[in-house]
Amino acid sequence: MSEPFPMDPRLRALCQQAAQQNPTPTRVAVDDIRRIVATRDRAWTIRTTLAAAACLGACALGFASWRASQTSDPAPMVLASEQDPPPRREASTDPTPHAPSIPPNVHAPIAAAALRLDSAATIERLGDSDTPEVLDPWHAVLVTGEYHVRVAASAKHPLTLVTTREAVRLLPGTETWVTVDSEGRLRSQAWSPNVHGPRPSAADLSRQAEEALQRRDTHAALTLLRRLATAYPRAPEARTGLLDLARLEASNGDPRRAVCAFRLYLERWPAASVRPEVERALAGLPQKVTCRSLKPRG
Amino acid sequence: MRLDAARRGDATAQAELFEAHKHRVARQILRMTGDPSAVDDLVQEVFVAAFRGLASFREDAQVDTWLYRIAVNKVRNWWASGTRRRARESIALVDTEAAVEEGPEAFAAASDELDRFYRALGRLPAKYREAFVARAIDELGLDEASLRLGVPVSTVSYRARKAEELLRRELGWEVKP
Repeated sequence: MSEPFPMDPRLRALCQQAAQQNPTPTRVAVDDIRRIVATRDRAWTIRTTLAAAACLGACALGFASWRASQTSDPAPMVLASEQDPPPRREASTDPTPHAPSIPPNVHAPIAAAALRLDSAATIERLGDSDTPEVLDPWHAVLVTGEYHVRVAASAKHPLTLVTTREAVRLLPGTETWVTVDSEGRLRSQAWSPNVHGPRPSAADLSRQAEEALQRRDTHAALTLLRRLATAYPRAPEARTGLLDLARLEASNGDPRRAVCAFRLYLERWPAASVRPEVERALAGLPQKVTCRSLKPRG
Repeated sequence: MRLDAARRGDATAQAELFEAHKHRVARQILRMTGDPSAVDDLVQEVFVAAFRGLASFREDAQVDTWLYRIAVNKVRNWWASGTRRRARESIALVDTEAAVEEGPEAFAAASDELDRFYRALGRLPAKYREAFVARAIDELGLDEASLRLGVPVSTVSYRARKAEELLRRELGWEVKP
């Protein structure tokens, strides 16, 4: 006899519950489907025709260029060779003479509350014109040195107090937490697994918040959702998390904080499809609230 | 044969095909997504794709199996797109005023187990999620799941078990060594 699947009885119970769901009778009509099929078929034909025409045009252009190149004198070609090396870049002086000797090109994860290397922030090594290779929004390949973190100011990222003069020391091979303090100064702190524990991902925080809600631990859920919203401002989990946070703040008797969470949501995702609902929810909450990020002021 | 007629664009034959399978497809989609609000849109997408692909449908396959595969693909796109996120946002927004009156207990109760289960399911890689749904929710045998998902039996078995492990982790349940 084959063993049951899934093996975990709790999971099995959930799967049985999922299997027993019954949809309401569908409102989809076959005529609607036929109409959509006809529309898409027509659009596909037009696209295919246009693509074929563009292809033919490109081929004709290519052929004309080829013919022209055959009939004229060939242009001189400049080739780079080992005898003709590119101009040498001046060696950069090490801006951190006291830095320990660490192998170059160490992958140094950068965790930042408000910085994303792919959009609002750039990072450059002092005394070196080469920009570090950015692997993803949180990781760059760094060598030992001091780095400037530059945050582009924009309406969406109100970080105008952070200037290019702010320098942050990033230690290669060490996760560094970069934040902007309440006075607009850039702060960095080496992330120590011994002190802080492993840095939870947005998904971890989201899951932990859900677990806290399940066990009715409102305080923990609030803390986790606030952390999710500030530590991972652009994560999909933070998007729904902010709305959960707003609702939980309201239900926890703090409508002013709920206002701030809703406003932050609208600020971050102004084109969200649920904007009207968020605005409706805001209309039912106190109006005269000034917020700094998630916190009401005054 | 009715399928031939449907393939030629016969409206009656296409309507029969739709009526014969729509409920099964709808239930399938609900089991795969756990989101009743997504069912109609996805049913429509499945049958649009099916009608457009009728010409290439091979007679050696069952219509059920063929529709199942289309549904798997459509649901995969749905999980990957922002649709699921938007649905969650709508859920998060429901009744903020009521939440103010009813307090955190009501809020916590709203996040019920099944919703949590589907959220965890949504965080799995598609191939694991699909194998798990086929085996655990649709309760298909390994052979049938293999046929419907178009992957070898051993792969379905491995993916489904791996999905169980990942799901337990996602749900915060301890995984036995």
